[in-house]
Amino acid sequence: MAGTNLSGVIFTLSNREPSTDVTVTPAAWRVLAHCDGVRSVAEIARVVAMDEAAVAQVADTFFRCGILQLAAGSPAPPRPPVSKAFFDQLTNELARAIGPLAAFTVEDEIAALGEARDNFPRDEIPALVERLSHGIRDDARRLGFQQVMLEAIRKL
Amino acid sequence: MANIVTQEVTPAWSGVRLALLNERCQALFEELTRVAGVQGACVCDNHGGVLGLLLAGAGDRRMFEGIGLALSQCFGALNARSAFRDLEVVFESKTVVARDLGNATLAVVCGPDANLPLLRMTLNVAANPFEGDAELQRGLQQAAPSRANTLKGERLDALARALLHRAGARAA
Repeated sequence: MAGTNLSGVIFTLSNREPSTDVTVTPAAWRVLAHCDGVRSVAEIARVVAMDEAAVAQVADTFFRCGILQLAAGSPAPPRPPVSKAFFDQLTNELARAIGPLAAFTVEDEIAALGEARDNFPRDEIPALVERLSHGIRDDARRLGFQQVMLEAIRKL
Repeated sequence: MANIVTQEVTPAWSGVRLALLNERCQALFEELTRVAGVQGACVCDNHGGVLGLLLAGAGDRRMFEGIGLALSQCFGALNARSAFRDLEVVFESKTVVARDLGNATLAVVCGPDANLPLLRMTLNVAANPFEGDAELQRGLQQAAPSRANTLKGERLDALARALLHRAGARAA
């Protein structure tokens, strides 16, 4: 999400455990303290007198590690596309499970989701992996594929 | 913040068996806390009794006792007709995703922001050690032998009895 426009997005504190240890700088704390489920990123930037891009960066970092979540009624943040490296890994892991037709299968399933590889949204990746899993007949291989891809998704 | 509640010592659960149950539940719930939108979960035995809880924003033990019993009844009734292991119940602002864990049932309550394919995949991976643990499954079956227990007349309301009758499953 970094580098994308979060102006109108509204964050609030999450009720989840953070996914990692987080260091909160004084500037970041000023932003965090204003993520009240009401103010947008642009409004927080004005209130704390910080550059909007810097506020968005802080909000994005906290959102990714689970400290912030989207507030009810907030516009959805722009959906960042997925890197080529991820698709390469996806195709390689699928090839281990179903063989050399994996590349075609990946393309077919991307198209079936109405998306394109070049602009594939990150939040659609689990749906893609799940669809590809359905084509793996062997239970152990299907589970192994999902296990590896789940880890890869968490690193995105 | 998420709170994991594990099983306490009872006549059916103690010693190594209890430690194994709690270890498996803990691992399962920890994986679920990594999925955005998960607001709570429970693991229930074949009789609908709660064995472990993840409280992460929605519900309390009483709510999960109700969910656990209802889902155990659903699996008990529907599995009599055809084998299946996943059930998703969609409400206006919540979704309940249930998974048959062999001799236990997992119910996950999540909000509208949950990515369901991600949750299902997490369940596939995280539930596998629980489902595949033969010693744990034996313990679960000894503690609560069959879901048929949840389909006894006194545990069903009139609607459930009527639905079971129409579905062709007999309440014990």
